[in-house]
Formats: sequence, structure tokens, C-alpha cells
Amino acid sequence: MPEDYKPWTWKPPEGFSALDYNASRQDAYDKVSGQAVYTRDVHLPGMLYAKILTSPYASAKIVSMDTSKAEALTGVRDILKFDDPDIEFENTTGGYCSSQYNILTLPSTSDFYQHPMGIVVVADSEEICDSALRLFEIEWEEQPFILDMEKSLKPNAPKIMPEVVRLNSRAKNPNTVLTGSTEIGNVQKGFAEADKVIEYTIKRAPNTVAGVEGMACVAQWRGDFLDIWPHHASHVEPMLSNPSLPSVGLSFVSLGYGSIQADVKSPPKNRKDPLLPICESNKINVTVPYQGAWYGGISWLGYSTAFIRMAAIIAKRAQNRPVKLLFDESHFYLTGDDAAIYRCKVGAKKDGTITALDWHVVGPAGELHIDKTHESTKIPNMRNTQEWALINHGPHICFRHGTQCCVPHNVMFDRVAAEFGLDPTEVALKNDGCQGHDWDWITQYQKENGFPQRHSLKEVIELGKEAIQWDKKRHAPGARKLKNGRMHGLGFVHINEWSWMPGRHFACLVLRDGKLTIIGMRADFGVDTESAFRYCVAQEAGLRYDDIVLQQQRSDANTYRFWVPGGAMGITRNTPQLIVAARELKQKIIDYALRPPSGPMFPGFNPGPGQSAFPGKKAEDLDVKEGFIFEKTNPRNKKSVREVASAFWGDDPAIIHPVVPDVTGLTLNGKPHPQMYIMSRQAHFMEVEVDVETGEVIVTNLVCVNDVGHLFNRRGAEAQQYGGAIMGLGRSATEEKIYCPKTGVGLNFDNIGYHIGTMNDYPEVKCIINESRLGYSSYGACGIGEDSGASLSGITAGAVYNATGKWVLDYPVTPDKVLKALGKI
Amino acid sequence: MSEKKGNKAEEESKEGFGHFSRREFLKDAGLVIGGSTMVSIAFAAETEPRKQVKENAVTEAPHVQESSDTTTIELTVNGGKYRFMIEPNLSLRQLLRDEIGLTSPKDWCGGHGACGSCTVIMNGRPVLSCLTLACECDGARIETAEGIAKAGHPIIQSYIKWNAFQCGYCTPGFVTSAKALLDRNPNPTEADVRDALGGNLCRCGTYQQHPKAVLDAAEALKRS
Repeated sequence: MPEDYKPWTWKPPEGFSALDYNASRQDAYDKVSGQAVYTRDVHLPGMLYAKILTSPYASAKIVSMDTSKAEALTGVRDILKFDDPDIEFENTTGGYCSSQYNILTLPSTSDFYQHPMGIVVVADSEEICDSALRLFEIEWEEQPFILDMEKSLKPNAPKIMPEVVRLNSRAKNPNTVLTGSTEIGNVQKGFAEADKVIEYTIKRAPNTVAGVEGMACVAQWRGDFLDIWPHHASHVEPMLSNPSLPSVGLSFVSLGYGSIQADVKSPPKNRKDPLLPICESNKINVTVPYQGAWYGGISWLGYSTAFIRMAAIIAKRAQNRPVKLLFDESHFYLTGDDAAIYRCKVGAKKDGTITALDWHVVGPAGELHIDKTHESTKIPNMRNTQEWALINHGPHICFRHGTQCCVPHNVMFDRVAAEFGLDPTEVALKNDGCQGHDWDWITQYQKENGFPQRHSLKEVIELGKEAIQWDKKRHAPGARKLKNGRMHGLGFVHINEWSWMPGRHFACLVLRDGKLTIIGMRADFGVDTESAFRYCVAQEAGLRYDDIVLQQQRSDANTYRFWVPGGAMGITRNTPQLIVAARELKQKIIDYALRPPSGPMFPGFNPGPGQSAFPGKKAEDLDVKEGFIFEKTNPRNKKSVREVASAFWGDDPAIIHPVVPDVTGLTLNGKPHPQMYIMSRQAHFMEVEVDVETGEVIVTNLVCVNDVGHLFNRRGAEAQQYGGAIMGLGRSATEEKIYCPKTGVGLNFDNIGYHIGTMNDYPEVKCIINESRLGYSSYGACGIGEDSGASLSGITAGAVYNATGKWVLDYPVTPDKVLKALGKI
Repeated sequence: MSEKKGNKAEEESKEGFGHFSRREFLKDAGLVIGGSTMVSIAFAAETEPRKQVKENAVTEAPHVQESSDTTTIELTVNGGKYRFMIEPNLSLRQLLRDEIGLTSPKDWCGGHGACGSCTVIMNGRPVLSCLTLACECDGARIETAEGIAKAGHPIIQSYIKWNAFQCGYCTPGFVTSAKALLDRNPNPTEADVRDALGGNLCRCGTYQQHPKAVLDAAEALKRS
């Protein structure tokens, strides 16, 4: 391994062009023909089913419970309650992941509508489970609940969710879990330098992951061995086998965020130590079937990890019969992005230069709301104050991570441009930079660290403007009425790309009989990174793409694992190790070609005893392409990898699994420098028609431009663009979870009341990929998976403003809000 | 953006489900869908059912007894003939998945008929199998994505060619809706495709690839 590990400086093999639509996809036929098996489809002989009681109240305590009728129902095999010794300690394991609080897994008190409670029914069928749950006679004691975070923050607010462990000891108010302030530069000085200080408020309503495959987990014991089929984006073995993991950290550990454990200073007070292992690590086998979409399900992870433990416990009690633990589809509506209020103050000069911003946010956060703005601008002065209190909404962390940053970021540029009559794309470019540094400074950083000197935002804006004919179509706010009576508007958002960090997760390459297997477990959500993995290994090792498969649904003893799910950070985190492995493999293949094999040769090929496949040649004389080893100066002298390598399987098999280091070698002014500035950008453009009589916002044109650094897989990247756009526009204009203010009950927790976009809601997205090679991963790649969905979530307000001259900063921007802004209701 | 989803359901409401009107069907379905038990007895199967039962053999489920409520139906699924004794609350989706062992009729929306993932073709028309009672299917001819693939219909390769799927969970529902469209309209326009598939939801947002795939399949059918 070189001393300086800089994957972005690697050059792709000659002839490397992005995988296109005509390449095979190993999951394609199974999925299109309906034969793909998802976790919910797993069916084993003698399988039992398990379901969990959910709360009909926003907050209520179980006072008494009679389960005798359910127990008497034919087909009911087991009922576990929160005080059962087998699961007592599970009650206290981290349910929903949060860095600031810990909702219990199997409680006797509900914290939100449809909160899964500590009562599990095990029966011969799913339907019998449902019948048994209806036979429970439960006396509930309703408790105070709060749905509005600003009310929950008040010192005199009633304490809600009393049993929930608050992890922030500094919180003073009864429900506050986090207050904090971060300042970069000098905000007051920045406001003093501004020509104008603008103030406005943004609201975001809660939305949901709305995954398609209801959560499920199948578990079966074989003596001391445990087989698990999770519906999960994670690695389940650590949480089942490691007794020392802090419970709150379980979900993060399983995701790979091991360091977040450090945030947990001590175990929750009500946890009974020790947390025992469910099964020893070398006796756990995990099979991850295909996974129905579950984007941004990080807020589910804690729960699902805990319930994988639960499935294992139930299966143990079921005398080794397999058990499928099932959630209803509506449970997806418990999670997602929660409501937030941003009170924003922005100082800017007349030319659009932003001198300072100060955002006060009431809402949850997985990161600072200014993070992405700081990463992608030269704005020198920023302050982010935050207040976060418990509310009875259920766990909400994120849904396609980054919305909480992207919305205030882009509204800010729209507001500054509007204030001074500027083009928002010019304002974006005016302020582009990294962590307070301008682009000239970044250019020097690029030169010093092996990056091309390119300006990503300038490139993506130019591409997008041309595609949508921005300069031709742009007009003053409310100035263009169409013949159909609607108002025409243009919207624009931009931000940095993320998912840029190369990772250390590793897979194993096994070459046998000329076929290569990449072993690396991951959860397949269909983002097609596996094709990119196969392709880059084929190119680097000199093998045929179709001779390579990815074995991703299981890895014996869970040894080899990809970053999960392999979408958002799949390319960036996984390809460096794969490429190092492929290069090592190629050297091994050439070495085979130069050495006489000691074992039996492949049938039909026998160069004779003691003779190599290419006698008299040196390594530099040979190359490998498309599954053949050949002499560079005489390509006709070639032999297949299969016939050469197979002879060595017995003595020196090609099993490659190198470990790669963290990125090293960055410098600044010639000195070692740890900072990685995010230099690649994305820009999205939208054309709308606003019906001023109905408030309807009709999207007529959408252009997405993403700078992915280096493109591995065109169809995969484009799918992330148009797919992310549909999700982002949903959050921007239609998707909203609605709670009854009087009861706290969710009113639209289904696919009828909650408006997910359909085929007829949006036009075809024009997808444009830019390759600046400014990412930190292989060949300069960066991510794309989460980016479009998050960044587009803020686009509607700017487009509506351009169409009508009215601001609607209350997301989602629904027709009623537009009409209200227009003064029509 | 306010266009309503569920076009297919609305379309069905005009034509009714077999001898049931949609109103009658939903009224009844509301009483029984999601009820307590499922198929009680499976008789003969000419293909490969999950429960390997012999011709005319009777296998009773442990918790269900034959009663006056049960009824016997015969139907054809993907070309194979089946005979089942069923309870009246059994949905077609349950029958296809739990008794025949097919995996393509998926459940996203919890049996509310809101997502289209369980769409199958019944007597040439797309139906939501979660809202179709199995007892309505006596004598019916059912096609699922598995059968469409086995028959080598070009819609399968078109969907693969155009990458008209991601996670794939909703895909069989699109495939069956698309095949039903092509059966009744060999020359669809893009608007026809959007209309026919407008009731199918996809969380991955693959929508724009579907018209391309369906129109491509239509061309392939003309060439064949």
C-alpha cells in the first residue's frame, strides 16, 4: 500500500467508460418477473408468525391487561409481555435511535400513536396474530401529550414521555433534549457589514420514509446456531453477539457509526446490565434477502435492530421453529423527517455576497443545520442555535439525510436574490467556496493535492441553465402569465454533493474456474451499485463483466461486508477497497502466467511439466483484458484466465481481501493537513405553472445536474437523480403527516391519505451528469444517492415566488397555502 | 400535482368485479378482508404449489374446519389449474401467495388497494388482488408476473432494458398492469401508458422509465 493513500488520484483503466443501460444487472430478471424473494416472502417449514400490539393513543399507559381470551384462541402459541423475564432487559434496549434520547423498545407506556408496545403474539398465521391482538382487554390510562415542539420547549410544559431516557444532562426544561449554539466567525460583525439584513421564517411539516415492504424479520435456531433473515440495512451480528455495546449505540454500531457510542457517557439508568449476548458471533448466520425500498430509514434502525433481537428471542422460545416477526405497513409512518421551524436572519451586500447568517431552529437534527452551507460556501460568519424537545410524534431523524440543511440553505439564496433583484444562480456562484474559503483558495488546495483545477458549481449551473433555457425563460416575480391563465415560474436549488468519504469496509474476491465472485454482504434496495462494483473490478482485473457476480445476500460468519445499503455511499465507500483488491488480483493472475503450476492443470491445457503458460516472459510483458492474458507486443499469444489460474486453485488460490487505510497524504502549504473540503456540487432547475384559482403547482420541466466526480454506472446514477427528484418534490409539495390536534392520532398514515407522487404527477426528469473528478473516492468519485432527494425538497418555494411574487415558506407547499399567500382564502 | 392516484381502481369501479359491483364488493370486503383465517383446504394442483398435495387429497389446516361458510373454487393461474376449498374472507392475493406460493403479488399498502403492487390479470383485466376475494375467482384465468415471464412476453426484457425498477418490490404490479394494457391495446400512446399505470406507486421514483419500457415492448410485439 502506498504511503499516501489518495484514491482520487488513481487513473481509471484505459477504455473505462461508464456502465450503460445495456449492461446486465444480476437482480433484474428476478425482480421484474416477481420471483425475487424479499424478507416478507421468506417462508420456512413450520414457521410461526409474530406481531406486536400498537398503541391507539398518542400517550397512554397500560394499567391492566387480560390476555386470557387471546391465549385461548386456537393457533396462538405464545404471548410475550413487557414484564416477561425473557424480554425484560429488552425493554430497556435502545428502541429508536437518537443521539439525544432513548425510546424504549417494548414499553408498557406509549409515546406516540401506533407505538409498538411490549406485547407480542406468536401464532400459526399472521391472521391469527391479528385476531389475538383484538382479543386483548386492555385498560389504558391516557397521559398528556404534546405535538408542537415550541410548546414542549416551555419550562412549564407538562413532562411527557417520562420513562424516556434523556441523554443530555444539560437540558433544564422537562422535555428539552438538546439546546445549543454554534458560531463560526463573528455574526454581529457580518451583519454590520451587510447592506441589508433579511428576516424570515421557514416551516417544515413531518414526512415519512413510507417504505414499501413492511418491516419483518425471520429467525430460526439450529441448536446453538442462529439463522436470521432481517429486513434491514444493517449488519446484525454485532448487536446479537456483543454484550458490551451500549444499548443506545446499537443501531449506530450496526451501521458502522461506532464512534457515536462515545456520545453515550453511561448506559441508561433503567437498563439492567449486563446486556447478554443473544448468540455468539461465530454461530450467527445472516441472510439479507432483497429489500423493499426503505430510503432514509435511519430512524427505524434502532427499532429494527432491537426487534431482530426480539425475533431471535421468540424463536428460541418457539423451540427452534422459525418465527417471522411482522410489522404492519402503517408503521413506516412512525418515522421520517420531523417538523421544524427555522427563524432565519441573513445579511448580504447588494451584489449578493452573504456576509452573515443566523438560524435559530426548533426541531430535531442529526447534524447542525448550517453544516452543508458551511461546507459549500465562503460565507465567513454563521450561527446556528437549536432547540429540540420531545413531542409525541414518534422517532424522526431523517429521510434521505440532509433535508434539514438543504431547505434553509436554498431558501436563503432565493431570498437574497429576490431582495436585490439578482439571479439566484449568480448569488450561488458569488458565495461558492468551502468552509469560508473562496474558490481561488480552493484552487490552490486542488493543485497541491492532486485534484484537477475545476469549478464544479459553475459547471453544473451552466449545464442546467442551458438545458432548461434559464436565461431565455427567466423573468421578474409574477411577470409571466401563460395563455392557459396560469403563472409561469422557475426554481433553482444547489448544494454540495455528499457521500464523498472513501471507506474501509471490505469485500473478498475469489477467482475460481475463470469466474470471479465478490463476496460482500449488503442490503439490496435496488440502487444498482452492485453493477458498478462488478464493472470496476472487471476493468481493473482484466476480467469480463459478465464473469463476475456479487454475492451480497450472505457472507459466512458475516466476515465480508459492504457499506450498507450501498446506495448513498456505496460507490465512494466501497470501490477503493475493491479496486485495490482487483489490482492485486490482476498481479496474481500475471504471476500465475509466469510460474509453472505444481498442481494438475485445467483439463485440455497442459503446457508440460515445469513449464509456465508464458515461458520466458516477464510480468511487464503481459497484460490481462476481457478474461485473457496476452503478450503486449503479440496479442495473439493469449491464454484464458480460466485455463491459467485454475491450475493454481489447490496450491495458491486467488482469494483476495486487502485492507485499505484511511485517506492519507493531504497537505496545505506543503504541510500535512487533515481537512477534506467538499468541492463537487449539484444544481437542479424546475419550471412550474401555478394555477392562481386553485393554488395548484404543476411541474412542467425538471432538470437535475449532479457532479458525481467520476461516473461508474450511468443508469444507476440517473436512477438516483430521477428517483431522488420524485422524493424531493414530494417533501417539497405534497407529503405531510397529519396528526389530530385533539387526540394526537395520525390521520393519514396510509398510502391513500399520504400523497406519494404518481406517474402522472411529474414530468420526465432530464438527468445530466458532470464528472469533475473532485471527489475523494476512486478516480475522484463522490456520491449521489441521497443528494437529489434532499436538495430538491426546498425547490418549490422559489418557483412559486417567481411565478406569483409571493413567498410560501411552509413546506410542503400545498395549494391551500398558495391560495392563502395569494389572499384568496 | 393534485391529480388523484388510483386511476385503475376508478376504472374498475365502472366495470365492476365480475358479478359484483364495486360498491357491493367493497361493502363485503370491508367485513372480511383481513379477517381471522385463511384457506382451509387445498385440493389439486397441476403446477407446483407450496403445499405439495396429491390429486383429490384433502389437507386440513390445523385451526380451520370445513363448514357451511367454505366454498370450492377452481381457477387457472399462469396456465396451471387449481382447485381450493376456501373461506369467504380469503383474498386473491392471499391465495396466490400463501397457497400457491407465488411471490409477485406484493403488499405495500396493507390491503387498502392504494398502491397497485398486488396487481394481477384476471380474465384479461388488471385487478388488485388484495381487494379481490378469492371466492369471486371461480373459473377465472389469472396471470401474474411469474407467468408473464415464463411465457416469454417482451414486457419482461423491456423492463430490464430500460431499468424500469430499483428495489423491485412494486415492479410485478407494474408489469401486470402493462401487460394487460398491451393485451387490449397493442398500439398505446405514452398517455395511454401513464393512464394505465397511474395507479401503481413506486417509492424509488422509477416512473419515467415505465412508458419507455411499455412502448418498447409494444414495438417488440409487433415485430414478433
